[in-house]
Amino acid sequence: MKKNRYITLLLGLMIAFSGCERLDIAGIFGGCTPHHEARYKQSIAWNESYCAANGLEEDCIAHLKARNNAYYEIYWAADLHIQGEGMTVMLDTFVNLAMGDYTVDGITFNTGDTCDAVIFAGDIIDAKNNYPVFYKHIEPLRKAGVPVFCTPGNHDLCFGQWTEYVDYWHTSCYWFDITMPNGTKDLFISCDSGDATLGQKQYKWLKNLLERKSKEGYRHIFFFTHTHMFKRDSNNAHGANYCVEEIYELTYLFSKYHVDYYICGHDHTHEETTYKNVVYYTIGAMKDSYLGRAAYMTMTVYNTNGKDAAPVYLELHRMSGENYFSFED
Amino acid sequence: MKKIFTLLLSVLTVGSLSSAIKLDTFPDINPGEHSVVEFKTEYGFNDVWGHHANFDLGATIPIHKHFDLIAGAQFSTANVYTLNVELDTKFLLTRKHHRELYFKSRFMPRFVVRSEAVEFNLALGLGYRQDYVNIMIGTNIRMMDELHRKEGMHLNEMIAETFYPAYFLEVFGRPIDCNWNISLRMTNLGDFQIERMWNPIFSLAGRYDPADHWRVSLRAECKPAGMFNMTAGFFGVNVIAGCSYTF
Repeated sequence: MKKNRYITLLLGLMIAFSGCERLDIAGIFGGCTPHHEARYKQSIAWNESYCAANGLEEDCIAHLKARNNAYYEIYWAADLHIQGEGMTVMLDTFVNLAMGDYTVDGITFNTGDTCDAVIFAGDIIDAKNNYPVFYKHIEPLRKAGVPVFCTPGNHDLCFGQWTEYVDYWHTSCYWFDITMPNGTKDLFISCDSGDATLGQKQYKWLKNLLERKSKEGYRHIFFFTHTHMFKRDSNNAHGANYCVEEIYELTYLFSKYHVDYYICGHDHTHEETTYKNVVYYTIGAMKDSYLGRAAYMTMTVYNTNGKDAAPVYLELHRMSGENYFSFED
Repeated sequence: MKKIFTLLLSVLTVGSLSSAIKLDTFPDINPGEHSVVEFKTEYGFNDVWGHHANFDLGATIPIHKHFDLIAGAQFSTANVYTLNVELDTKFLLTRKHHRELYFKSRFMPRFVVRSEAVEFNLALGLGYRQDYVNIMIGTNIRMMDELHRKEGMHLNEMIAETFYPAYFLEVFGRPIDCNWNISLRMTNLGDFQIERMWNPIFSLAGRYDPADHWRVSLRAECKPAGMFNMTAGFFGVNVIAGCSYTF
């Protein structure tokens, strides 16, 4: 009898927490989002039909060309955790900046110099019913013709939100490249690590892709996903990351195939580590409640001749509403 | 890095000594521990290593009535080699229900040859054991490095992660002195693996003592990924069968 009471209490608490649509308790035990293997399968199926229809290589969703002769620039953000219309100040500022609109002391300057692409490294929303808000606020990027890419975070997937994610982004496991005017090109790979694992099939996919692409003369390889690899500070306890076996396997893989940068979110604090010649870069959160310490990152990659190492500048910018300051990291 | 090592070593030494001092103030009604040797074989599967087998050797050596030295080694067909050294300081509070308090300090180097990496784990914990429950809380730190550091890679760093909480909770079906028992366990401290706090390892275990000195055991372990991400998924399993002999 006493045991039944405990079980009822436990179930009641689970329902209560899940009912607030912030904390997906059921997700701790599997939840209602499709398993990572199912998501991988669905992504690859979409890739196949999309690539066949557009005459693209397997799992490639875009071939971009740098807009500028000397360099290209990508804007990165992660962990926005959008929670309704009132929580989009950082996102709006970020979108404006990506489109070349700067606001200084209340005066807006439109340079008309948009960036080459925008990448969101997961957790774009916080919980249910926020996808429409996010999509509405990034619409100016779409209208301006700025390519936008995304990789799913755990908050984008819990409560069974994979359906909403995939309706808009179509795939979570893909690659694209950017070609400079002199023909040198850089590779960008996205994987779904929302479950804090790539899973067996996606891991094999990544391994095969890197093996194939590392022979094609790419100047730089950038890998982006949501989950961070290392946690060296104790600033916050956010986020489960990979099991240790997967960390060793992935770091070995990235080193072996000369991946230059692993860029991610998940941990809300910026961190940069070089391990086995690969830079592991955690952007940090760009959520409204992080006034003054919300961050986004700009990546500027300069042109060089041939396969020589080209300078890559990663700049971390701190944001405080519409007035922001930045520093070079 | 030296500071971290020195700090941990100091904590370990002071902890062990302070426990030893306190021990004498409690009635020790269970002196004279015995040495134990054990052998285990494991079938393992996970998303990145695939199917593999592990072979474990271990020994428990009582070096004092309150101190046990536990040493073990694991050889894996996945090309991973692990050593484990533990110093357990323990004292029995009461014989009834076998109430015991213990302090555990652990050093576990792991040579992940397949990934050209090495890790050093240090864990400290304070635990309480009685007939039906074994609970421990503590902390652990992990240092990771390349197995063979190449010259000229001066930018590369040895990764020293932050201190993580370590925990161990095991619930038994029968009292400790029965000749068979079953248990459920949740921990981030495996026999030859130390996980981060948010990657718990769940186990269902059983043991049977068929004769004096002999014990056989069977355990199934499951390690999910992403439980704390609210999007849990499967990562790996282990099935461990073993036997031990008590001298």
